[in-house]
Amino acid sequence: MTNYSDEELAQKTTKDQNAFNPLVGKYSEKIRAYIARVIGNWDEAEDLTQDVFMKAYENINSFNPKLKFSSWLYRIAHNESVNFIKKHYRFKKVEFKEEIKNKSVIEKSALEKILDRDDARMINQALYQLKTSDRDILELYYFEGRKYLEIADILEIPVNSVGPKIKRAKDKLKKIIKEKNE
Amino acid sequence: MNKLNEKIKKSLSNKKIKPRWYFTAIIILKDAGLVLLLVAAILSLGIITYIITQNNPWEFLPSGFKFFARGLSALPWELIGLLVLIIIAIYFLIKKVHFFYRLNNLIIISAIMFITLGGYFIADAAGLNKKIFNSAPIRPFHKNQGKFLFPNRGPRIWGEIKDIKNSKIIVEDERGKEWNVEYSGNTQFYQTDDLEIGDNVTIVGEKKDGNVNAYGIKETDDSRQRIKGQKSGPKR
Repeated sequence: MTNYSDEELAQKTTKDQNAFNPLVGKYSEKIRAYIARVIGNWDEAEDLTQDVFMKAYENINSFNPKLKFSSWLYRIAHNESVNFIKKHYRFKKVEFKEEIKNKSVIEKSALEKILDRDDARMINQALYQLKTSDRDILELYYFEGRKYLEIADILEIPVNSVGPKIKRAKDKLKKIIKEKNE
Repeated sequence: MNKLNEKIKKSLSNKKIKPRWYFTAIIILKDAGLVLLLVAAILSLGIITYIITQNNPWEFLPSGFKFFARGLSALPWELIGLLVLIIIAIYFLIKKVHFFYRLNNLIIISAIMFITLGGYFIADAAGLNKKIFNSAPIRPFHKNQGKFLFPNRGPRIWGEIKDIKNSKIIVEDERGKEWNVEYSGNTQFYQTDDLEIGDNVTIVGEKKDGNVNAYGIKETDDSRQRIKGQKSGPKR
């Protein structure tokens, strides 16, 4: 199964359930890390990750091979995270928890690699001051390293609006950091 | 294999993959819904245009904000609102179908407008609009000139003056019904210096308890009466 692309494996899953296993192995931790950063809760992220893969498996016949499998999976993860936030954080902000950053399974983002620990911590805290939609797009672009088209597919937004949305979110983040430093 | 992977794989063993036909059916339903909404948008635009061209509330309303507001209230806002709702529904459905969400919103909205207007003109050129407007299910929409919030405002009466008393005239409409039309200093008179018994007039105003409060009165030629379906020809 190792020679197949993600998209081919997704298509094979309809006939052979085992074809889905390499996809679980490849993406489970990434999806958990993504969800944990969006919802700010590591334990809940594990349950949500399980739900994401169950939904992906059940609906594998709706997967369009024109789309990247990872984008499709992240879209499900994004929707699950947004629903979770709507349900549990309706009237309060998602809080930054140091434990999420400290979990060893999360790969260090490019941002964290070039910054020292204090700066990275401050940026992470500032990220949680943003609205979920702003934080989500920055997570996908800077932490997950997704391209514009992939972000458009995950968030179901026009491709040409991805750049301006990232810029707006970045400006808001800068403003929060500036206020924190003053 | 880590704990999470095991957990996920275990939960998947009880799950069944939804069949392909289920998703094909959803796509067909979405596409059919899209086509139906587009047809509804074309139809609504046709009815709105028909109502406005047949009963133009701006035709001879006096100028000034007060009359402008009355002119606005005379438009078929309910149908205009319905058309806007249909277009919003098409916009959201179009974004959910296939990969249209990748497109710029302006392109999507322009495409909806283009298809709706194009469909309207094609239907008009083919004479479909006339047939549709005269069909029984559509009649209630233009019976009240598309106005359900202010059904009594707008161009209301076409008829012949039967009597004139102080600030009141009695007008017999094309169906033979008599109306007490009240006018005041605010009422605008068009193409007429003197109202005389036997003149054909169009009155725009507001109906209230069998009376009409006139915003504007205009002397009209005979052709207007014929267009409005008077059985016997107008008196000369």
